[in-house]
Amino acid sequence: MAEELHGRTAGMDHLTKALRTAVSGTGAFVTVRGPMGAGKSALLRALAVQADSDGAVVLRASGAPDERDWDFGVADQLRPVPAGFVVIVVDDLQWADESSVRWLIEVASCALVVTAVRDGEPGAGIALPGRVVRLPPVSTAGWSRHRLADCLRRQPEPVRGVARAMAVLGDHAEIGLTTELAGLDDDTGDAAVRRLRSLGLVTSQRNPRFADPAVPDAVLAAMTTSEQDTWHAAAAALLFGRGHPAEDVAEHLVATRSVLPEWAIEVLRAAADTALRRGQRPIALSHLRRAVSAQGPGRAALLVELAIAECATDNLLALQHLCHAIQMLGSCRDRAAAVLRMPLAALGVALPLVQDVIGPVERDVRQLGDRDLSLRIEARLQYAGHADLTELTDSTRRLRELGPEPETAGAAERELLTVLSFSATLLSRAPAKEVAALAGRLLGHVPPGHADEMTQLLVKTLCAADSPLDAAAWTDQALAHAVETGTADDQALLRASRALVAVHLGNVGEARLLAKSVLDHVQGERALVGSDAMLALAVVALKVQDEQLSERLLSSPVEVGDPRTALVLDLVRGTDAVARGDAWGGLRVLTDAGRQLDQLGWRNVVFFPWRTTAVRLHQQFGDVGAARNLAEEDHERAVEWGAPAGVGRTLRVLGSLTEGAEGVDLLHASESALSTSANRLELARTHLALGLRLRDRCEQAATDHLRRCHDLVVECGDERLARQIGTHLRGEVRRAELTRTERRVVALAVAGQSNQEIAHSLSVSVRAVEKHLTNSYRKLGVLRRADLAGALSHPF
Amino acid sequence: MFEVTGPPGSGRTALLGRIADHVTRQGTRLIAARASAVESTLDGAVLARVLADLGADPDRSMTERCRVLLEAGPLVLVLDDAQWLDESSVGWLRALLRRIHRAPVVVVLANAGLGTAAEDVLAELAEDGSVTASPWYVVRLPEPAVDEDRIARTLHLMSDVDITLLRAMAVCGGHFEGSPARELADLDRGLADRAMTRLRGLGLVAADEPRLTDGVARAVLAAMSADQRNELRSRAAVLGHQAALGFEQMSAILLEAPPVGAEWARLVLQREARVLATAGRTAGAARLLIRALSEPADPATRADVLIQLSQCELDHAPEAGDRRLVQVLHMTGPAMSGPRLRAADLLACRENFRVSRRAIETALAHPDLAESEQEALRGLHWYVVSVAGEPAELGVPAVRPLPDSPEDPVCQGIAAWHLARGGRDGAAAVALATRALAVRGPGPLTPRIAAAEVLSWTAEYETALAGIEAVLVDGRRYGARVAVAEAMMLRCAVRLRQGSVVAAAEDLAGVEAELPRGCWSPLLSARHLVLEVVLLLAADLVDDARQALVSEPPAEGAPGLAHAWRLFAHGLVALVTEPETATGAFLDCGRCLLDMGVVNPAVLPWRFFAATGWRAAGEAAHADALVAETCDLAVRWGVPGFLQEVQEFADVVHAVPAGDAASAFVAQLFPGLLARHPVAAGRLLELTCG
Repeated sequence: MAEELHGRTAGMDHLTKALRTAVSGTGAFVTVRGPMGAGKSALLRALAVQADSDGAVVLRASGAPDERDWDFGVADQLRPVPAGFVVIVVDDLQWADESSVRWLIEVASCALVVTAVRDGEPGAGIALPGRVVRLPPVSTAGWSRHRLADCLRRQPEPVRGVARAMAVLGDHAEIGLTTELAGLDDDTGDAAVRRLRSLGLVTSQRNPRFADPAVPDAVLAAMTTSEQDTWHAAAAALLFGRGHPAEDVAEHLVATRSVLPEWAIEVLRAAADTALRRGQRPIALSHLRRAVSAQGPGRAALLVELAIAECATDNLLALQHLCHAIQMLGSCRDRAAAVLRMPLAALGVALPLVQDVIGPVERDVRQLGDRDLSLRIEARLQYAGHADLTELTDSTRRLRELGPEPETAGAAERELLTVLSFSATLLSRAPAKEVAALAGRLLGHVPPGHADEMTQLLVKTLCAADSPLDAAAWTDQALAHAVETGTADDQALLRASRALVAVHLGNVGEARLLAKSVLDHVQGERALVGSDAMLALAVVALKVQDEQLSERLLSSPVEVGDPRTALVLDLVRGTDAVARGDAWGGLRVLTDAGRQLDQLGWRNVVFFPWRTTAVRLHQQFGDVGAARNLAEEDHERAVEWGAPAGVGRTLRVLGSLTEGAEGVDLLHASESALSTSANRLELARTHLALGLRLRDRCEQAATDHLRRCHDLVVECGDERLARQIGTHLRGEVRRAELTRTERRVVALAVAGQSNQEIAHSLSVSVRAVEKHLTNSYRKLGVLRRADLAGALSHPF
Repeated sequence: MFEVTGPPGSGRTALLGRIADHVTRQGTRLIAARASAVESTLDGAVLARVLADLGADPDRSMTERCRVLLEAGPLVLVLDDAQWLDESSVGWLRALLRRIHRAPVVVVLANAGLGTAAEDVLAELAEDGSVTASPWYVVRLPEPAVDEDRIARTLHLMSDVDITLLRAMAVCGGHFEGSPARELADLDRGLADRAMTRLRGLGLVAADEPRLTDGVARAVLAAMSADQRNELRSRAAVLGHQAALGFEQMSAILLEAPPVGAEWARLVLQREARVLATAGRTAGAARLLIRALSEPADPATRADVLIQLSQCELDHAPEAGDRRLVQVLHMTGPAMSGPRLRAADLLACRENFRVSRRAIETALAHPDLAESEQEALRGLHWYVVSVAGEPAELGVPAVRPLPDSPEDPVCQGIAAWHLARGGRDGAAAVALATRALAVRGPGPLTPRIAAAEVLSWTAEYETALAGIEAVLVDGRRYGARVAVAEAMMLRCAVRLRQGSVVAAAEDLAGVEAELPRGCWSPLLSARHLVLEVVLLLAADLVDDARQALVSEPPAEGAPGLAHAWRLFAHGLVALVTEPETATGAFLDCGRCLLDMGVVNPAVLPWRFFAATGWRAAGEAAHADALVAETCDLAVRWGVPGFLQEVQEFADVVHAVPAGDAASAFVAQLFPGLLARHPVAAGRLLELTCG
């Protein structure tokens, strides 16, 4: 065995030395060996350049797989060899014909012959004289698919088989599995792996891995479709037989188009379940789709599974799959069960489709005489009509039909009543009080921490009926529960609900924080927030009127497919445009969206208070008639619905449009209406309106109102309104209330001293300074230190 | 080594020609050859030509063949359409290229990037890194604009894989993602990806997403035979169903595919049609439904499809729609009773009365009709006859008259309406109407609308509204568009009588949203005109009201109910502008109504308005006679609520002064009078008259 030199540098040193000897006409034979892509050709080329510059005659040749049978094929590329300082460079010698090799060895007596041989190739075993330079494999090979495919094609069947098995198995390519899949015994398998290693295609770990992702690509590309199908099917069967987890098996089942074996459906289902649990929805969907594409007795059930999994991403498609499933299901009960398993949200997207598909199911169930089942299906059908004026009217009628105090003992009744009360809330033609009472009773049946779509409807109903307190307790519990056990998506949905509750309690500060946290989640990758949460957020944004929140909501990456939610978002867009100074454009957007909501039957004034903004804008533009018309319309609706928050607000709007004593009376009426409302911010606003209206006539009363407004606003955490009132309140009125020490502390703080410095100069503790400052903030109606100076100096 | 590459039509051959000219001008030896698709399977075709040019013997060994060329240098070898090189020519080229580093030989070749076997070899050679590889320069020509001609030319040149993929995509509406195109083409991911890259390179697939560019799908489909297309589309439909594609996509595939022969195909088409129709895209929905008819179905199901289709065709082919309904009425078979009744009901709404009457008569002649269906059909027949007038043709089969107190809800509604028109026995009419309205579900809506109308004539507004709302729900659910429009119009009328102008205006706008003006029947549009005029006058927009009269197309055919309503609308405008001239129109209106047997003053208050006109013209005696007649008729009708309204209205009419004062009085009175309840008008009168 000839002496071996390892590495490129050592090789190049040796070659340079050989070159020097060759100047005198002394020949030598050097072989550069290494796996594919190790840089043999590059080394040869470098040598050729150097030899050329040293004045040698450089002759180049290379072997090619097709030319192995050409006698003297390589030699012919070189002949005739001139006399003198000659360097012969031959690449890919493993493919050279025997005669050429013999000739080269002969020539090496008078010329320097440098050859390259690729390890692992069939012809690489040739015996050559002289030194061997061995190049190690290069990690970043960057081989082209052509070269790889070409190289693999020439390998014997077992080697190709192992390569295929490894490529098909991917991450699970253990040596045992690989050889079994390739159908080889252990010895042949080992030999094949060794060959792949010497080619540099496979790493030298115990469990072989491909050296580069290009290799499996090339291997797979060289396989035909039916080969891939067969191999993946075999891989699935093998992994299944060896008890691998369902998701590993499922991966191969998805990749094959062969007929699925009987066990495959169960495996795919299990894998989909796992993926869903891990939040990998696309994977779950692909598993289920694969299972569905197989004809079989369980296809209908699978379609239902698929539909349920799809609900989060594509409600319409989910519904269509449910249609297919229902058509295939034989028994009436199965069909009903399929409908009941569907999330409500999916049933709200296409009313005609739902009526076509679920209507017959309902009729069948009714004939079956199962009252509970038919009530539950009816609940779904009623929900499907929740964005259609006619259907909403019908739902309200149905609710009335069930009597003033309907039975709530059965779960089925409760479902129907939940949906009906939600519909009645949207349409707002039933008395809010009754609806709220019913919703409250229904919520009383919900176990703590149990969050489902039906309960979410109740929360909305209670909020819009101005009874958010009941809902608050429930959302808090559910949220706490979800934080412990639920997914991030569940938590986000509940937080959106909680924000909705908070905003209807008037706690805009809390609502804003919650809404922002939901939006943070939405911005994250793979977050799935349905249009339900978006709707809640839109209502929150509409009421909080915080530009930052609106902007974030409007630019959130969630695609809102639901046209109703899109309309409510349009309302937010309109208000946002107004806040940014585009009053005309904003008004147009707002009115358009509002009217469209009206046509859908979404007429709840508490939920969608768009007219209030529109009235203000009309007033700004001097169109008092339009403003009054809108305000009256709003008030009429509010009275019809009867929730104090709505009635009070619309009275205030009317009051501010009306001059003189009549206006003041309206404002007082608003105050008394709102005194029973859960929304304290609305009451605060009315106090503000009263305070401003009365300030010329009755200063004491005005101050009183403003002060009450201020207290409420601070409690609600509405910074902007607090600031506004802070400027409205007479500085001196407030200042008079400061104690002497508080006044001194404030003066020092305004002068720019830190709490420490103030404490020092007044010889009190820092804690005492903090306390004085906090009291002063409250009394002056400011929220932070920076506002103190303004509050002290700002006149009314 | 130079490679010129670019899609078909990018000018490769022209460029090669210019190179050849240049080479020749310089005096260098040029050898040019061109491969062709036809010869790509003919071994050694191109090589033989090149060797012939060199004057060499083609039968020598490969080494010799290379040497011949290399020793003939300096020369330039130009090979056009290298993608079609045959196998041994490619082998020769490969051997040659590994040897040209020693010889003064330049090779220039052009290829189209179609992914042929020869191109694969060339790509491999280009990547060759061995010491003998010569520099390889690639000239990439820009993509030419895609036009039909070029697409056609390109299609001729493409490989089978590419064609298969193209066809599959064309059948799937040009899409690849989320469509069964890949399964249809039977390609694995790798092959499909590579084919897609090539198609993108050829400009047939959009650069940003895997979708065929404009015009490609058409060209590809046109280049297939009908059988091929049908076969591929049938497979696409089945594959799509297996993969549980969305309805929109499935229906697009099914629309072009031959009948699948399965229930799911019909259901998909029917449901997508329903969704489209709800979104107002009725023409598209109709196409789907016509396609659905070619799938097998039992008669009742088929009738369902026909009924759905008739409602979609209302917008663009109303007569065809009517014919579909007639077809349903002519159908026999089990479980046909429901569809037949629905079809009869829809036809009755359509006011294509002769057609509907005859169709119902034919249906009545079916020997195996159930008693209940017979009753219901008879009721509808009666409705049609009384709206259209007695048939004037000969040989009309006698249909038994409606009984006075029928048991069937359809007949009850119609009977109530019949009684009410005649202005007799109000209490009985109300009882019948209330019973007719108690029915819910997909059954006939016409009698329910008629019953609700009867209640509106008896001042039972809330009950009427509840009935109308139920009709709206059922009409929408079961897709009876005309009935929904009629119900909306009726609700508008009821709300006007109640005095809710805003709600009434909303309803009137709803009518148009429900059913475009183009497919309104004469009576529907005449009634709409009256309501529109009333609302406009109530809003004091007299000019707009006049404009509405002008823009309304003139009545065609014999004077009937539609004519009466139209005259009433004209009368109203005249009354507000020139009260003394209004009488004529109202009297004509009354004549038409009486001719049709409509006596009840609650239907239209033409007598009062004519009396107002008489009074304005100073003809107090005529006026008093009409008022007295109205009061008598109201007494005969015998509904207390209406009677009270009539008396209040009569007081208003009595107060109308004659002459010039009339105009001012009426003008002052009218917006309110029209907009509000007559009761409110009465109060208004007290105010104005002091």
